Amino acid sequence: MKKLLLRYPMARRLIYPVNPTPEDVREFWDYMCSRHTVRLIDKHNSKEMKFVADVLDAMGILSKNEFLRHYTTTVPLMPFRGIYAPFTPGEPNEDYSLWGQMRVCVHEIDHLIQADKAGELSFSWDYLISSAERAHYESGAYRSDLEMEWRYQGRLLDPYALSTKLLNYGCSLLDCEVTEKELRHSLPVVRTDTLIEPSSKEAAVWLDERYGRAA
Amino acid sequence: MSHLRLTLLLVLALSFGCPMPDDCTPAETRCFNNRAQICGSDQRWRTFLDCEELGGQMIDWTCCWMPEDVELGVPAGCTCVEGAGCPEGAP
Repeated sequence: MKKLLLRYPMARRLIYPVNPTPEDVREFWDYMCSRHTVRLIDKHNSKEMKFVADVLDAMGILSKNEFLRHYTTTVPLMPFRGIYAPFTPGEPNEDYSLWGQMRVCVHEIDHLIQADKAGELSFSWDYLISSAERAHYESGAYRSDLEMEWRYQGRLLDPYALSTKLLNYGCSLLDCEVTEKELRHSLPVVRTDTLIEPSSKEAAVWLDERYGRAA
Repeated sequence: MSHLRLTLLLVLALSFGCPMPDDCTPAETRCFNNRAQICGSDQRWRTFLDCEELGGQMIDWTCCWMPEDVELGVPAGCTCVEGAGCPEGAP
């Protein structure tokens, strides 16, 4: 009965919202990053990211300020391997609440797992060259957003809103349509609390232990 | 000889950069080897749900074509469904 009730957002929200403390967020980032030998880097102070921001700005894809202030970026390739975040874990800002900082960690770790599986060079090449590949990789990471938000906040995110973010990544409307459909077809599985993305499974080990939320 | 090498290199580079399309219709879904796949904007199939892998979590999952679920906002198409077979009525 409880399991059936938990498939409905309203019932779920009464039982499941997780409100992390700043210390939780710091510990969570340490846990996730240590599993993938990756460093968390302050995006504002990164020369590499400033260079990327200049290039994106010059190409008219995204303004420099927008990229540096609002986007978390993962680079899987050595020697730049790292997650470049525009926030300090445990210190919420206008774009990233404490929970948002945890969720974006799972999203970015999903990209690292994708890169490790495909090969870092192959992943980077495909991601940069093909908008269809880029959309597919982002779909996987958005699915981890769906899973985290459902499992720990009792909310189903809107696949349309997630997919249209791809327009800021140089993807076409058709890429957005494919991603939206992919995410919508994932919803029946997400709603059963079955975890799909490897990063979500890793995160759930820590989060379930901390908050006792094992479904 | 150098022309041959150059041509070979070019063919290799092109085949690395431009994989052949599967000629599917973008956003179409299908079940393939118990995986739900979607056709990308480049007309290539990509797996988005591996039902076998979900089955690793003790319950059987099967890739099925399902009718539209208006309440959940899921269009008709392929997804993973709990159980060893597809529900009655699913093609």
